[in-house]
Amino acid sequence: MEKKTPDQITISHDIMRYKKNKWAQVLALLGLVFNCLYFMLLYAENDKYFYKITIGISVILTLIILLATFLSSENVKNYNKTFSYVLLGIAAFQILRIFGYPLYGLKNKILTAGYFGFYPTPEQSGIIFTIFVVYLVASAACLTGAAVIGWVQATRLEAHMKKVESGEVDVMQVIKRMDEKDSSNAVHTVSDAVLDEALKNATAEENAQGEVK
Amino acid sequence: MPEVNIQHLDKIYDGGVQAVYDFNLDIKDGEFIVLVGPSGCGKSTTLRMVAGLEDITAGKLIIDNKDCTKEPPKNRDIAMVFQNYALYGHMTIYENMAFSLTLRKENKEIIHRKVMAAAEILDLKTQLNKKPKQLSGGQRQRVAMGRAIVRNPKLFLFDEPLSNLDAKLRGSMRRELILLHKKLNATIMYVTHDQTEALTLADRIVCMSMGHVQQIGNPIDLYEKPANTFVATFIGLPPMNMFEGKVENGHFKNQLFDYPLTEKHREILKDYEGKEVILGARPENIIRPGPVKLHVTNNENLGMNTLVHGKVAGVKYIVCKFAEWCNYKAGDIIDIGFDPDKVHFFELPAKDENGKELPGKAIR
Repeated sequence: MEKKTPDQITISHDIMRYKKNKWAQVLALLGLVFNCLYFMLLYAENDKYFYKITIGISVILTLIILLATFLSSENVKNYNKTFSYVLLGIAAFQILRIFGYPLYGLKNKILTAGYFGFYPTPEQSGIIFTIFVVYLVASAACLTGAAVIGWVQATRLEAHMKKVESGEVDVMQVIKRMDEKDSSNAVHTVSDAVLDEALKNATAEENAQGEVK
Repeated sequence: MPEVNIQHLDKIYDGGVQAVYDFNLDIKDGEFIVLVGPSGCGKSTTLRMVAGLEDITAGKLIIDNKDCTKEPPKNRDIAMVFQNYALYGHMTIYENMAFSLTLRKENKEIIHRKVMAAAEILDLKTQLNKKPKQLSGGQRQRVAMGRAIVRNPKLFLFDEPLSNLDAKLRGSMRRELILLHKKLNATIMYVTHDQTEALTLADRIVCMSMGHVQQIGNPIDLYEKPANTFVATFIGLPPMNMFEGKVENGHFKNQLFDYPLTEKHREILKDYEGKEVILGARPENIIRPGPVKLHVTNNENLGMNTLVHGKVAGVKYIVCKFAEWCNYKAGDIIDIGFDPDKVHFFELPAKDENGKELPGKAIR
């Protein structure tokens, strides 16, 4: 792959001013989807202890995570650095969740939820536990990815904006420079000097016509 | 920028209705052509045929030495700007301007360079993150133009782009269009029914009526040397006043007045002695005093000039435009004449082989 020139890097950073961080958003939403798969399986469990004691807390927790993830996905899309930290927090929490009910269910051999036509025996709890772990790890991985991409891109944009605002970088000058090198991909315009000359000539012509009249 | 040649273009719709008859035009590189005419005259149909949105029934369209008569629109390398902007409401201005390039799977960096360059030209840089609904009509129209500019097309087509704007904005957009044309050195075909737009924007005007081209020329030619009665009455506001009468012994006579012709007029009209002709005088070319009696019906002071409406000899309704502030009252009778250097003469309307009335040709 060809190495980018400083001008190309400036342009790629400047694009972020007008384009949303879709990668980060999509990853965050994917993390949310894995979280949904996790709680769908969780609520398919028919363990009486879980249903009686922890179901309320679990539902509230799930709702909070869903809302926080969605809110964060919208914010990382707009290069908000703070929500990258929120996503990291949620990712860490998803990992911690493995040590909650899934591990408890595995130890007590009560993970017997029917899943896509498969009805495990108490001895097969490990299979359901594995699925729980896969969902939670996948969710955590996606959320971490979203957080990292969000943070990196937001930092780049922040630095670029600082340069633009301080006048260190003039994007239009960069574009003009690149257009001069690659005129086939430039918007074809008449240069200001040529335009001024044409306007001067036109004015002189008009004045001359006026004098004749 | 390329040349465009339109040769013997006809448009006949499925029902047999002919919208355009034998349209011929050679557009030079960087020229601004305005198609003007009343509603239903075939100007938009012609533009749509050039764009490829309507099939060409007969004739040839050559863009940059390439026969594009049967080419689909995407292969013609043209960009069209519509009256209703046709922007995508759910996209930002940046995305709207970049859309056609994104569809072509252009490199992101190139798209950005082009969009930013167009935004700079159109002064839209601060609006790029907004949605179309957050912009004014003029700004939206600029976005529509920007979308055309980024494509670097061979030919720009504008279909009444300023019709949705209020009068003040239309004026400023007209000025921007002139600058834009100069800046891009673009070849432009522009459709309008507004003669002010036509006169101010065009390098050449194509005046159309009932599907026929009536005259092609630069704005001053259409104004000062109209080819026929249609162009004479369509170009100019208020329209030219027309009087039918006979040429007799060095006079233009009708039931309303007797107007002595100058030496120059007699020379022009030497073949029309005893025949019916039409005398045309623009409102601004009516002078006082003169041999014609005008019964004033209305006096409109516009600040820099006055429009005086009235009836010649109490019968024929005309409008006069006087440079100064006037205070005529309804019922006043004033003596008017016509500036002899600016009077036009036309033949009477003739009929073609199908019995359709043709405008009277200019006598020069």
